[in-house]
Amino acid sequence: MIRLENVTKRYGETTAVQGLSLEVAAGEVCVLIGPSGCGKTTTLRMINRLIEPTSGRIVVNDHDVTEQSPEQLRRGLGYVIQSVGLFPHLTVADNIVTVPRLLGWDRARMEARGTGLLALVGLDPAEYAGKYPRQLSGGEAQRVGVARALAADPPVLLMDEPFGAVDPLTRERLQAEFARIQRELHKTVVFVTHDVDEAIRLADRIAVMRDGRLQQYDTPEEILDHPANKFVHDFMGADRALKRLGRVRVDSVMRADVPVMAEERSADAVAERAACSESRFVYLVDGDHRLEGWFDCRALVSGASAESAITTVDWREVSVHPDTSLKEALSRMLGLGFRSISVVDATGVLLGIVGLADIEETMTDSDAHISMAPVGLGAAGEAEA
Amino acid sequence: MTSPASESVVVPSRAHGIDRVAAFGAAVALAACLLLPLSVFRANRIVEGSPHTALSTGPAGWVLLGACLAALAVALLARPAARVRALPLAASALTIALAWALGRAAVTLRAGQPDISRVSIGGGAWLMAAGCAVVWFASRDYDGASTFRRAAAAVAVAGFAGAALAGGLANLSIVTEYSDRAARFWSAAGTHLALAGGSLLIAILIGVPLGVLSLRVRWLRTVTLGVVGLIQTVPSLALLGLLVFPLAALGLPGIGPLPGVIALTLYALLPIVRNTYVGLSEVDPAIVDAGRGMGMSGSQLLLRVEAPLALPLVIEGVRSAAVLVIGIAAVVAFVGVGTLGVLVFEGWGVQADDLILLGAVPMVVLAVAADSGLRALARAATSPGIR
Amino acid sequence: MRRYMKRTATAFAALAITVALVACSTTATPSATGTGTPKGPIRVGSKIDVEGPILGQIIIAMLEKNGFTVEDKTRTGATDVVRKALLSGQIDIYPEYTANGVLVFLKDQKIDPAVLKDATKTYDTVKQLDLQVNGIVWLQPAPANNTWAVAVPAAFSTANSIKTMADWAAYINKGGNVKIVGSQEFFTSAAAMPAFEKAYGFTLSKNQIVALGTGDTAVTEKAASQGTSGANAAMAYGTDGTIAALNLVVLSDPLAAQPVYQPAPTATKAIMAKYPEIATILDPVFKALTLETLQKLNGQVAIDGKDAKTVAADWLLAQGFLK
Repeated sequence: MIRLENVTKRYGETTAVQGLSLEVAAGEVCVLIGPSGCGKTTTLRMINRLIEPTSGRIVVNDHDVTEQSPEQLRRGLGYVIQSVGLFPHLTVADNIVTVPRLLGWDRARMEARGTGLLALVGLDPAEYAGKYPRQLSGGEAQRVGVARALAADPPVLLMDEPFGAVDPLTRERLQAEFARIQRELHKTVVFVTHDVDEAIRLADRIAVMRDGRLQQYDTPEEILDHPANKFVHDFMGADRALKRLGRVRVDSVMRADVPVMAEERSADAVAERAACSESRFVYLVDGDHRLEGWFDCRALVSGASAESAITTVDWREVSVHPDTSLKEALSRMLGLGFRSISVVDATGVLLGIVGLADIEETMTDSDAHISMAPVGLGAAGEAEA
Repeated sequence: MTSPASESVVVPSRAHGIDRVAAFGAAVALAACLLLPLSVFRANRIVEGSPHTALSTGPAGWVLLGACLAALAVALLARPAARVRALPLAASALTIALAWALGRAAVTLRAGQPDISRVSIGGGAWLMAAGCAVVWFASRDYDGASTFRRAAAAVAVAGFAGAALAGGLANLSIVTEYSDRAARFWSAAGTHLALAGGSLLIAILIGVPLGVLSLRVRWLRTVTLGVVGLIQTVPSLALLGLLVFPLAALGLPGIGPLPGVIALTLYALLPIVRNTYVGLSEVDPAIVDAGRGMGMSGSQLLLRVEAPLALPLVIEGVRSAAVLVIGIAAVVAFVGVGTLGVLVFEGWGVQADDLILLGAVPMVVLAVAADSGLRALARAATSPGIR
Repeated sequence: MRRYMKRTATAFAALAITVALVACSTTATPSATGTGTPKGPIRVGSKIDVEGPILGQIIIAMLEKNGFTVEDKTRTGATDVVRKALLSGQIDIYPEYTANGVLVFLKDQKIDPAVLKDATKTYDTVKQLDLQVNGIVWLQPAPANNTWAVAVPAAFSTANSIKTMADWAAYINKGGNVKIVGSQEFFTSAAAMPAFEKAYGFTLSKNQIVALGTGDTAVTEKAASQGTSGANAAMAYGTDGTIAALNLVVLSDPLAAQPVYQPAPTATKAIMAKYPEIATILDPVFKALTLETLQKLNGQVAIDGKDAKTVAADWLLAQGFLK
């Protein structure tokens, strides 16, 4: 969909981008990442010709970008920047339909589009359409920025550190929203960031750059498991193993066959069930299979009563959702002091269990053979800035 | 004990006990009424006059004193909530009382005197007007009842205009000066307006594009801002004198409306060019980047984004320029243009103060009207998103 | 367009139209024509003092009565401005003073200064030379001499028996207290105060002089009348209308130390060639403008506050020049 062929940009003596070649397939999210001055923003701005390359060729959708006028090209590419750049004198609705207005859409169509997009980015159209940018929070403003970029339904989105100017909590929410929207719309996205975690979370492929040169261009898993050189290795951070876990969903490793006990449960009945089971815990659910607690078999061994072996919980506080990353599941487990954690759906129905052992297995499965033994972690030394 | 009215009223913090500002204004008016002359009588235009205080000119003077006392009483004694309406009312009443007293005093003092005798507005009357204005402005600080305030203002203006039209002010010297040369007055006023307005328009047509271009072309910016800044420092008379040479070289008249318009246009340029440039340059670069990145061409960006954002500041520049050229239009009378300045110079030439006022007061009124009008325009032109 | 933009545009348009309408409706249009087929237009200028506009209006009224279309360009500017306007053809005619012609406009012509003492000689000289050198025609002058003079408060005059410049000179030389207010030009121009000093044998010291930047005699006379800054004498012009009203008297000039300033219409050669009847129309009128007449007319404008146009019309009617 987007192809850069040996693109170079020189400013007098300095070279911002050197011989960059990469290809972004349709519907993929390509994240450009690297330290400041590595040329990632310059590369992005060459795609929509805000900067013209010194040499090389850029092709979007099988057309050389120089075939049309820059204005024509840009109207077909969505553009989102860090400071959003909403037009303060226009309402949110008018801001969103900027490009449709340039393209000459009629008013009814623009209005419908605006309403739809506001809903898409998670803002109530009735409340937000008539607001002005100065009345919006940082997060809301950026959502509008994304909506504005999507207004004319471009196949490509160019995003330059779009979530960099908000607080971490809002940033996480915006990233989740973006992931959701991308799953729905399947745009081809070129995304610039310097935040490694963001890149790993959102990218289908990551392009690591340094001093204008491409260091590695691959899936996040590959980059984490097989960094091409010391720079990439250090740039991705010392906690590569944990980052790797961030790419794996809980529901891909959980054990669904979990010993459960529903309805009538006298302690003795539970004990009997437990005795026949191999796992330490028997999970107690209600009629709808919603998690209510568990029964610790080990407690029986020490001679305690059956009642004392039962722990009743609120599923909302001790579970994770199926699409939670292993990284977060591990974090929750450590926080709760558990060696395993239950996976529930939105209504609390028990879906499965994930334990430390499952996580370890995932890591051992990978080629990097990163084990939990102390010698593997921390030996990478200081990461380069 | 809050009355229903006070629930919708916000009283300024300085006015919770007595309203100090209003009290000051009313006190000034009262002192002026008692101590300074309301009117000055002279046997003819040029001799020295004899002052007369308000109370010595008859019952109207006592009414005026009453109005001053009433204003002071409102400022000192009225409940803060009641002051919202009482203050504008007091100011309005004081204005009408002042106009009436001036008119009556002129009639009284000229009774039995030759036709060429004059009664001028005394210093006390001016000071009373100033005090009244202070009371009025003090009343504007109270939130709420703005319709009442506007109504009170309308009544005052109507009262004043009614008195003038009914001939009640006819014996005042300034009105005599007017009636002696009414046609010439209106002609001068029209010329003044046309000259100032025309020059302003030309300055906008030249200045705004210059300001826009200055943004794009670096050397033009330095040259333009430098040149218009330099022009501003040249005193108007000198500029008019200097213009004679290039105009003569081009075979154009060095006196008359042409150098007048040229001079006024040149003076109006600086505020307009500078404000256009600043207004545009203050537009957040991120906005411009977003606009360009979305596919707006340079002119689309200018028209749809930069211009609306810069417009309030540009209109402010026009406002400055307007007030400036209305003032300088007086000076071009020196090169044979019949603006209100001619009346001022004539009055000065024969030491007739009221003829000077006849020229000067309308200029002030014009300037204030232009200022208010353009302020309102600036407000209307500002999107609710950037207020 | 956004709603508020539409509002702005309408408001601005309304404002602009209002201004234009008011300006156009009140700006003066050229004066109406007289009877018969219109001749002209003749553009009449004048200085911005008191007397100039009166003389200008007299010229305008007489020309209009005789069927000319006239453009009222009186109050054109100061002497040099209005003279330049005449020379460059922006106006056709304006009233000027004979001595001014000799002293200012023809000063390079090496004219014998003794000429200036005689009214006829001054006029003849300026008439001949200005036509020859600058192409300007001088018409019949008024017999009034509007020259520099010194005016003192009547009380002062009576108390010290000062009626002539000679009396005043004697008073000064005796050590009398004198403070005179005048323009800078009055005290420095060789033809003005220095001429008085030379003729009557006295000198004014620096602290006897208050020099102003302005040449307005109303200012100087008012100062002497009120005794501002201790002034008890003022620069004045012969035909000033303000003198009597301020209780001042003009000191006579028996030795004729001052040049003769007679007002006369000056016109371009071209306009006179085209309409030679202008001379026949204006000559008798100007002949009737004596010193007392001009003082009276000036007084009506300066003291009574009447408009120059009204004063000119009333006088012409009273004299029978207008019916």
